[in-house]
Amino acid sequence: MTWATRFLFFVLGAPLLLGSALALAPAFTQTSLVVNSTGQMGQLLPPAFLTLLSTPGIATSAITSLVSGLLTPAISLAIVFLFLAATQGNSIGNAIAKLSAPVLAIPHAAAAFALALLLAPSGVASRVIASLLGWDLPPDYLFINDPNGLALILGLVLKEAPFLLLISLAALPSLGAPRRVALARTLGYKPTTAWLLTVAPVLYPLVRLPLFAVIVFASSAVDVALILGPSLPPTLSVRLLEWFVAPEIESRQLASAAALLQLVVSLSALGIWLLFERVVARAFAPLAARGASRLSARRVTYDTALTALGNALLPLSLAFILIGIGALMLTSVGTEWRYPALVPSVWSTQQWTSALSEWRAPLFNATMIALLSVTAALALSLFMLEAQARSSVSTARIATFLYLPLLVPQVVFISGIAILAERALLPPSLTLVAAGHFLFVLPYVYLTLQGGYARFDTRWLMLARTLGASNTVCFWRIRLPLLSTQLVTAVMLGLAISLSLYLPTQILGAGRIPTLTTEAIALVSSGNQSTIGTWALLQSALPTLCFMLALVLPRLIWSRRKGML
Amino acid sequence: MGNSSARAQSAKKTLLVARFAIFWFSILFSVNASSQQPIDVDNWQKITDDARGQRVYFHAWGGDTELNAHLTWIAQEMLSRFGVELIHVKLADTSSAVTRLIAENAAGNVERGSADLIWLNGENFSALKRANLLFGPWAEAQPNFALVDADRYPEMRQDFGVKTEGFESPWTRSQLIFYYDSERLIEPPRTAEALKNWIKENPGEFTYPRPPAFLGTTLLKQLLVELAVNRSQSSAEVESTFSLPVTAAFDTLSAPLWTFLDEIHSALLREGRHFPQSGTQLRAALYDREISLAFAFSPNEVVSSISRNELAASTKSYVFDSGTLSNVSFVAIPKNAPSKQGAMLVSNFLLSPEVQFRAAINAKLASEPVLAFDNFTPEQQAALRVNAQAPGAVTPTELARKIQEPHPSWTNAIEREWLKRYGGGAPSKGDE
Amino acid sequence: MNTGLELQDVSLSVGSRQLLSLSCTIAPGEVMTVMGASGTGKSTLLAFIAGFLNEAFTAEGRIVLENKALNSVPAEQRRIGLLFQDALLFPHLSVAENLKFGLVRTAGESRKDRDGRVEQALEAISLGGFGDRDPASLSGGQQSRISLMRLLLSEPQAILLDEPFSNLDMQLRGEIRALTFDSIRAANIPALLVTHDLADAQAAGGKILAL
Repeated sequence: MTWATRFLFFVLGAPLLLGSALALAPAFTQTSLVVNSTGQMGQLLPPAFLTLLSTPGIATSAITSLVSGLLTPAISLAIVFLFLAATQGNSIGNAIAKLSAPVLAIPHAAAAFALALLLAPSGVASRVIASLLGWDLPPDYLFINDPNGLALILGLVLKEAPFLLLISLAALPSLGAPRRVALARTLGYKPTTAWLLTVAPVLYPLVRLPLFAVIVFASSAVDVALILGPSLPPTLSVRLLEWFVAPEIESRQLASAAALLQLVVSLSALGIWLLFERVVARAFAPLAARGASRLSARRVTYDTALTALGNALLPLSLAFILIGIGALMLTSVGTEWRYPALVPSVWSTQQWTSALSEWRAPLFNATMIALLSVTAALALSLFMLEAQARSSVSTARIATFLYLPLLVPQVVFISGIAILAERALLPPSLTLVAAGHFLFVLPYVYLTLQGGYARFDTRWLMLARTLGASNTVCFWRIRLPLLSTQLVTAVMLGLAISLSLYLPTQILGAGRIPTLTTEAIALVSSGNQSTIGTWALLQSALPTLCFMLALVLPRLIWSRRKGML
Repeated sequence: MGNSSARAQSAKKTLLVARFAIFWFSILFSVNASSQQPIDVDNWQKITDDARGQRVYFHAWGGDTELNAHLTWIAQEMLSRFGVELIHVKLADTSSAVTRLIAENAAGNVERGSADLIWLNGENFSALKRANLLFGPWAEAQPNFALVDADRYPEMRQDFGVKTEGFESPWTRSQLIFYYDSERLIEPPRTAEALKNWIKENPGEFTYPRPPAFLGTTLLKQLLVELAVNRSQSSAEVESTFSLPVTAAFDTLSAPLWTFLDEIHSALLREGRHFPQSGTQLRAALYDREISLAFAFSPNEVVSSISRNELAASTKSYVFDSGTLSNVSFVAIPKNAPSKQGAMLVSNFLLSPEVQFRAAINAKLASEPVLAFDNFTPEQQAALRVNAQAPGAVTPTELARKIQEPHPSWTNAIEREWLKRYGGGAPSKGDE
Repeated sequence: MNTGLELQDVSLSVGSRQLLSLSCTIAPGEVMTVMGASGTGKSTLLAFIAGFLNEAFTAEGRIVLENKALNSVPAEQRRIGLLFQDALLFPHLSVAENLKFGLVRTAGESRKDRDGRVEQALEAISLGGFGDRDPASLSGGQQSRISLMRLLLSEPQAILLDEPFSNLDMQLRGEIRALTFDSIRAANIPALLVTHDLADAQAAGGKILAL
């Protein structure tokens, strides 16, 4: 599969490598900074690193990023697996799983805003308690923006759990889970434990790569950290961004050194996770080999507890987000909503009218960028998949390359690509931003379509060919229509991803390409809750629309062809 | 024989390359011819003519929705009156415009910068002026510049103590004011010392935006100046000390400030483990009763917030007894701006009585006009007087107690020191 | 003059292991049956003849149809039809569109003419008027008949059958089998049947090759 691998490497790997190199290079220059070098170390390291290491709280920043990079995937995975084990495809489980898709559509920033609105000291939850306990003043506690990053982890988990759930659900059918569980149950295990012991180990390898993407994302997230993360000190990625946009040259060098540190942190998180995998694998066999005691009272408690958690955690996290979105809606139409009022006392649509007068340009930009990047990703993916299908060689290895943009922290290589664009005198433009988005959209589009190609019954094509259709006719009249559901899903997924990207738009567009997402996040520091609510909802509207279309369109198109659904 | 055909071949190739190069370079340099020629700032008619059809990118902070709406109106007027397309590039942080400018120049972009007009304050202006990245002088050639009466108000020509020398044009001015909820607080502290005692007696009722947020740094500078006066020097001596660049005496001069902050740190909201990010977040905290005393760098803040239901009607504002920091906001034109004429036209329009009046009254901007009061029409003057008596407003007498901003280098020094002491989490002593 | 389908020294191997080798000639109108256990390469043989041999297999020998060697001819030009176990009507096309998919165009034929031919074909299998129907709404037997008709409308010069009746219940099997073989005989083209049902082989009435 060398030519396709080489081609993908060029398309994906080159910008990544080049971008990372350019982003990291300034750290190694010898320009002196306004800082004292610390003794012998001053001879070994470039000045930028010295400044970085002596920045107050840098270790805390790095550790917070590392911890959130490990706890987020761990907790999300636990929630998802427990849910799958407890429900095992029953009707309630299916209904809740269906609810996950629209939650996935809500961009990270909007979900973070929603959570902040819910759990802040003057937020909705506190007001509910205030009305019950008769409080007059908000309590003074620190959860949102807490120094340990708990709120940050929670905000990330609320979005990553549905993501992992949908990936797991896609992988599950090929595992024959019901048979495995049935077998274990005949050996005396309770259903939930049975699932965890027999299905989880085979399911895990199939969600491993997306999980790695979650690790890297959680350890380097910027938009969620800006809203929910600690501020004294901020997480490493936020500091990196602050240094990158600061005017002094020294700050740029510092940003590059920090980018290297961020890379180290994310890779360390991955490394620790891999170690953890081995530990779990070693511990697993003896655990499973202990056997099921039909009479042990203790086993009943374990299983019941696990089932209860599995049934509760995921629905709870979905409810959190949905209630938060509801709160955002309330705040967007309430002009006077002083603590401790439960509902706004003065309603008006003034926020919406002022937002709607300003949303034309951001909406246009966001839509154009999304369409451009998704079209390019779609064309490239179809081209590669079709070419590979015709030469009938295995395509499994490609997956690893595709995940490259997801395994390197965004903030590291996007800043490098921006520098490249500056040197090439390329002005910040829609096309440049779309090219940046393309790198993140391609993996998802390709993988969705690849699934469709892999499951495609080749007999369709054989029949068509024997009926006289050439390869081209087969592609347009057989392959594409029969892949239509996956096509729609891939397009809508790609659109939703592009619409919620923040960092590539902000850095590559140099702030001149406003999108709904950049406008929403620019309001983080504004403190105006109702404006934030309005723009967070605006930001979520398009991706949610995309997801609903992904569900509804196939049904509409093929309403007269039941065999397609 | 072979040689001549080889030479013909290579000659053809060279011609091809040359033609391609000429084509390519002509594309690269096919900018407006007018932007390559030097601009005569005194020929305002020519500037107005050249500006028609230009597109001006105005890089300004985008976190103030009222200001954004005001700029949208200005854009409409610029288009209909002068044929200039004004685009407000909303920045999350002013310094990002400066970064972009520096990066562009480092990359050799001297003709087609991404910004035509930038809203600057002290530290950013001095950085750009030092690096020789600004166009000028042009400000005093504007027809409306005379209206600010710069001779009577020298601060129109000084940005944090640095002389603008015509490289910047004023457009709005602001002053630090304090405000509180009169239902919860009867008598607010009116000096730095009183503030310290009040905070210690009322833990969790006060906080400030985290430096390097502009408002947080401003409070620190206010305290720095006021505490130095309390020490021993007279206020005139103090002002002159701080208007000079920061020296090695920084530690001694700033020591009272750090002692002050250390004493109040654990009595702040959230015990000082988290600070709001901006003045608007601070205002929201007051509105939601999390704190009972706040401050802002805009005299009209309380009046406009009350009218938008963002503050309770019982909110009142005031100025410290010995005065508070005040400065003028400026706009500047980068040297590599492609639409300099359009930018100058926009700046001039910003200085017109019509726009200055609209900013104060209709747009309900929180800042003050820069025009001398006498240069407004009688009707406008009457309306402005009424506005000054709205609920929550600061009286003009109080506003007259102005303190000059320190030199920009003090800003950086204070921010760095604050981050060293408190930015890593728990308060710690500085390194030396 | 039809000369039928000829397999000359055909040998299929996977790696170094030979799966099968055979040489035979199938006369027009004759249905030759290949029988054998799973894994003996029956389906691979059909794939090879139709032009879809998987790269994991190696094949030697010549395929000659109507005196033309087909080894280097792409699958869509071989004029060889396929019938699978499942009817495999294209689910996104209507019944009529399925039939029209492989319809050979004659010069000067208008769309109305083609629609007319399709309708005639439907009536020939007692499914007149079914043109606009959704294939998923048809019964198994109806789908099989339309699948066969789609194949015949493409005017193949040979037909390959890969256990086409094994998914049908007993009652339908006989009916569809008879219809299929009658059509093949009437069209006077050679056919190769792969099956493990002896009754199919007997109904085919041609040579039987056991692997």
